[in-house]
Amino acid sequence: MRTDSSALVLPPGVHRLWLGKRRLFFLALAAVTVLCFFALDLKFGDLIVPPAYLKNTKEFFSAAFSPALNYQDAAAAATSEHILTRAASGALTMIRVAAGALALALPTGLALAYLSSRSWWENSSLPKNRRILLTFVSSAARTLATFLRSVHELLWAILFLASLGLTELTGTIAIAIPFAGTFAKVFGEMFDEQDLSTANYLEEVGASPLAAFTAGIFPRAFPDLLSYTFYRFECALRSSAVIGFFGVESLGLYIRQSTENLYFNETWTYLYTLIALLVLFEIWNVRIRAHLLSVSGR
Amino acid sequence: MSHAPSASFAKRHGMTSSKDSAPAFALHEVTVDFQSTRALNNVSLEISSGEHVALIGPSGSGKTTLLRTLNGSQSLTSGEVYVNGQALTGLASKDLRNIRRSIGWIPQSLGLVPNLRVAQNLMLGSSGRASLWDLLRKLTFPSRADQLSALEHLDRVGVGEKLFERTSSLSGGQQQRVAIARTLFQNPTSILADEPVSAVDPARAVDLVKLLTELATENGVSLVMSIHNLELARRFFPRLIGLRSGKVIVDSRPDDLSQAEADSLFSLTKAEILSGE
Ligand SMILES: Nc1ncnc2c1ncn2[C@@H]1O[C@H](COP(=O)(O)OP(=O)(O)OP(=O)(O)O)[C@@H](O)[C@H]1O
Ligand SMILES: [Mg+2]
Repeated sequence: MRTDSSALVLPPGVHRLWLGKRRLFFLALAAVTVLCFFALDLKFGDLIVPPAYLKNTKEFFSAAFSPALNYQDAAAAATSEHILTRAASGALTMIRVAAGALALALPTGLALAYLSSRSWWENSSLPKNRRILLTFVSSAARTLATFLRSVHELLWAILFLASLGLTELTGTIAIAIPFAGTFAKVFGEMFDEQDLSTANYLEEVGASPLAAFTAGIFPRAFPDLLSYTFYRFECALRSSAVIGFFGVESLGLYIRQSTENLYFNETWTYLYTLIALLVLFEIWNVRIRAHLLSVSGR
Repeated sequence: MSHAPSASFAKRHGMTSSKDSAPAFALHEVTVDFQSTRALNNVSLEISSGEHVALIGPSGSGKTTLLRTLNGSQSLTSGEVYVNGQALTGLASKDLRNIRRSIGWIPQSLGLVPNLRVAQNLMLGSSGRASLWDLLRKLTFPSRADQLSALEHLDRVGVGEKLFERTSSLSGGQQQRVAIARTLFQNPTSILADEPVSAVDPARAVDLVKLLTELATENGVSLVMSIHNLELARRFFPRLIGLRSGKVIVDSRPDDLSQAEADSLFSLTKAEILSGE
């Protein structure tokens, strides 16, 4: 049945379907981005390398085909352990620092995530004063997490370098601090994203809100948490390589020292060790995460 | 040990506690409003202990809301709910939890954790009774006794062989059985079930409803179940409560339900069809 269209009246007011406040804001943002690019005053001519540097560059890259199996410095070759042993122990230190950082950051981040997550009590039957307390606790936990991750691990490393000296321990702590903050934020969001049906069920058969959260939300989030943890271990490995550049006795440091001495073949030995380590870890990681995703049914 | 006399002690000595005489559930002039809809409208009814009741009515008539008032999950606009003679309003959350422990609940969404094993989901049924620590232990290192008990209940609902399967790998009907077993594991004195057979084919639906009512009879448990299928309700339940727009319009034995009443429960008026209800 057709209605007589002359009887229809549009609702009053102006209806711009294509240009809302939010879209205007993003358009302005895009304009600012373009302006910033020009304000940088980039000269693409700078990308052309002057011939004097070109010699080193060529040397560096041609060394890629012949990584050193012995020290290039004869004195070092006589006195030190074998270069491959050194590379392996440097890699081991990297792993140790990354694992240590995670061992510190994971429980801290998990605890902060528990405290900052809100979905489990927001709709529960808790009394009002308890809710106010929990709102306060969760805001405090979120603030602390933001504070922890606002300073990058490299900055912490430099601060420690200046104050305590950069050792394996301080390197580990430098990584652990921002990682704990990131774990807290991401885990907290993962908790809040979970389907609440089990938690609701548990409360409806008499479980406390905390029990409902622990048994109803944590197990649901677990595959995601684990998968993200493995990803972060990979990040920690990369960070520990970079922190090595600042003086923690590991692959990063060896790479820096060999390039400074222009022993490029040695550099490539260490670089290949680093790449092999990261690639192997990545392969392992991808397989674990694929398995976890299949478990969580997504 | 508590100092209150046990039920059997009370009986032997001729004492009558409120528990023995009071109905399992009683609603007194209960009204529940959501923003603009009145989901329950001045509902009063009693369900005695051990009784089996089917809730019937069209979609949106208030069946789920009514079930949720029975275990105190739904806040009321007005009225009062009594469980075993105990009024629920104003109860401290600890006391409310105590009452809920003895009421089994099979929600429409089931609320199973898909990535846990079936046995672990069964353990969740006891979450009201167990301390947090106990619950974690049951989920990670359940005792032999717990595992056996889980197996027994699963076997009773016909999916014993799935004990250690991942729950997401089960079919919809099997998951509904697991939810029933989880409620048995809770060992409740009454069971509320929200359309537990909506997701299975008609033959399975008959099996499941039969199973649930048999289990309830075996254990002397009161059963309140919402169900869309009027035939099933008539066949397996001695009492039917019909809801429409939040009002109880039928409360009778299946034989006394007239065709006119049955029609009025499910046929929509023209106004309702037009308003999209
Ligand atoms: N959380 C809510 N917020 C707003 N309205 C709600 C809410 N829950 C239920 N309602 C409304 O209350 C009325 C009764 O809903 P209820 O879920 O109890 O119906 P039902 O009989 O269980 O329906 P169905 O057979 O579709 O499950 C409906 O009109 C519904 O839209
Ligand atoms: Mg419903």
